[in-house]
Amino acid sequence: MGKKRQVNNNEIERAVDEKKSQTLHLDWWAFIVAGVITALLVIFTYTQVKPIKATNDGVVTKIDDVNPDDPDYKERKGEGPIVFVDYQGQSESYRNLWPVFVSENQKVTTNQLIGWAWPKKGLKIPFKEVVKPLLPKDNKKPAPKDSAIIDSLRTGRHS
Amino acid sequence: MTGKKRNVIGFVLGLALLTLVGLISLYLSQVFNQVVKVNGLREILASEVVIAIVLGMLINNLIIDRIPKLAKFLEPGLEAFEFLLKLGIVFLGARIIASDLLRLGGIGLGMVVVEILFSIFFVVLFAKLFKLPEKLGSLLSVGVAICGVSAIIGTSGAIQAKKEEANYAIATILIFGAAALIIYPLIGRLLNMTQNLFGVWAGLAVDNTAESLATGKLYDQVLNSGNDIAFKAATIAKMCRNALMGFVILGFAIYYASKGMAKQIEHKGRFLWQKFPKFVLGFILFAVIASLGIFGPPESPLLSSLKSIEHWAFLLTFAGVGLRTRFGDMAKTGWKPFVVGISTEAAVAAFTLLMVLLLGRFLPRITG
Repeated sequence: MGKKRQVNNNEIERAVDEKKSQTLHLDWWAFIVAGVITALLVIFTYTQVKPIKATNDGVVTKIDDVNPDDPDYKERKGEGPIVFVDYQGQSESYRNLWPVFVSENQKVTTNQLIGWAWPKKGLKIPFKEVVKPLLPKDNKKPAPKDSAIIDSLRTGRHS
Repeated sequence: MTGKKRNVIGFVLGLALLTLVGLISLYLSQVFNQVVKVNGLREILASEVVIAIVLGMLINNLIIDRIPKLAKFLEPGLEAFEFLLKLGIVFLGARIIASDLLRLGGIGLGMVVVEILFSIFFVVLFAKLFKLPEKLGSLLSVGVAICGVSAIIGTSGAIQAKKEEANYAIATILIFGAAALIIYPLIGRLLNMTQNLFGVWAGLAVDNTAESLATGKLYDQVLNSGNDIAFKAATIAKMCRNALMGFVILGFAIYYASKGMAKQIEHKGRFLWQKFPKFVLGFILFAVIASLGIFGPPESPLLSSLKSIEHWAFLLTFAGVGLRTRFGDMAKTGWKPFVVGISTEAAVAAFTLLMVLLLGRFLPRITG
C-alpha cells in the first residue's frame, strides 16, 4: 500500500511538474506573443499617423469631439475630434486627431503641434488631406460658420 | 513516425480543428441570424459562443472521445486553446479602461476574498459530511473557490494529493463549468439582471476562466446588446480570483505541511510568484497602455486590429471548451464528489448572486 502511494505521488508530482512548466510557459508566451504582435501593429500604425502642426500664428476656434448625443455618433464612432484653427481670418480644420494637444480659444504659433491625425478606414476625407483651406487667399468672403464646416466634413459634401 | 513528429502533426491538426469549428460557428451564426425570426430564440441560436461550444461538444463526444488514439493524437493542438485564452485576455486589456479596472477591480477583490472564504468553508464542511478524503475536499474547494483546473493542479502538487483525487476534482469542476454556461444566463434573464451585475456574478461564481468568460460573453449575445459589458465585467472579476490563487494554495500547503502530510514551503515569496498567473499582468499592462491613448481613439485602426485578434482567440477558446467537455466524465467522478460538487456549486452560486445583488448599487458600470 505504502509503495503504491509512493508511486501515485511520484506520478502526480511528475504530471504536476510537467503541467506547471507548461502553464508557466503558456503564461509568458501569451504575454510575449501579445507584446510582439501589438508592437508590430503600433509601429505600423505610427508610420501612418501624421503630426499636425500649425501653419501660421492663429487661434483654436473649436474642437468638435465625438459624443454619444451626437446624431452622427454611429458614423463618427472611432474618430478623434475635428480641430478648427483660425489663422488671422483663414480657417483650417484637421480631422480625426488623437491626441489633441491644444484647447479651445488657445493661441497657437507656427509649427506648434496641434495633434496627431490618425488614418481611418472609410474616412471620406483622406487623412493626408486633412488640412482644408476654407477661404480663398484674398480673404474677401466671410468665413463660414463652424457648424457649416462640421456639417460639410461629416457628410463629405464640400462647397 | 517519431513521437515528436506525431506531436507536431497532432498540434497542427488539433489547431486546424479548433479553427474549423470557429469558422463554422461564424458562418452558422450569420445563417441563424437571418433564418430564425423569433426574438429571444434568434439571439441564442445565432450566438457564436453557443454554436462553437455545442459544436465542439458534439464533435468531441460523438467522434473524438470514442477513438482514444485520435483523442490522444489531437490533444496537443486542442489544448492550444489554453494559450489562446490567455492571449485573448491580454488583448482584451486593450479594450478595458484602466479606471474601470481599478474601480471594479478594487471592489471585486473584496468580493472575491469573501467568495473564496465562503467557498472553502462550505466545500470543506460538505466534504467532511460526505466523508470524502480530506485532500479531495481541499482540491474541490480550491477548484470552486478560485480557478478550476489550474488551481487544482497547483494545489495537488503543493499538498501532494493522489492522482485520482486530482482527476476527480478536475472532472467535477469541468462538468459544472459546462453546466454554468446554460444555467447562469437563464437565471440572469429570469432575474432581469443588468450585464454589469451578471458579468461580475459569472466572474465570481463560474469555476474555470474559459467557461466564466464564455458565460459573460454569452449573456451579452443573448441580450443582443452589441457591446461586451458582461464579458468585460466577468473578465475583471475572474482575474481578481485568479490573482489570489497563489495565496490560497500557499494556505493549504502550510496547513498540510503542519500536519506532516506535505513538504514545507521554504521560499514563500517565490512560491507566490510562481503561482501568480502572469497573463493577468499583461491584461493590466494593456489596459494601462490603452488608457494612455497609445492605441489611439476607441475603435482606431490599431484597436480594431487588436479586437479582431482577440475575437478569434476567444472564439477558438470557446470551441476548445466544447472540445474538451466529455459527458463520460460524469460517470468517472463517482457520486460523492458529484453530490459535494453540485451542493457547493449551488451554494456558491446563490451566495455570490446575493452578494452581487446586494452590493450592485456600489459596483461601477463598465464601459461597453
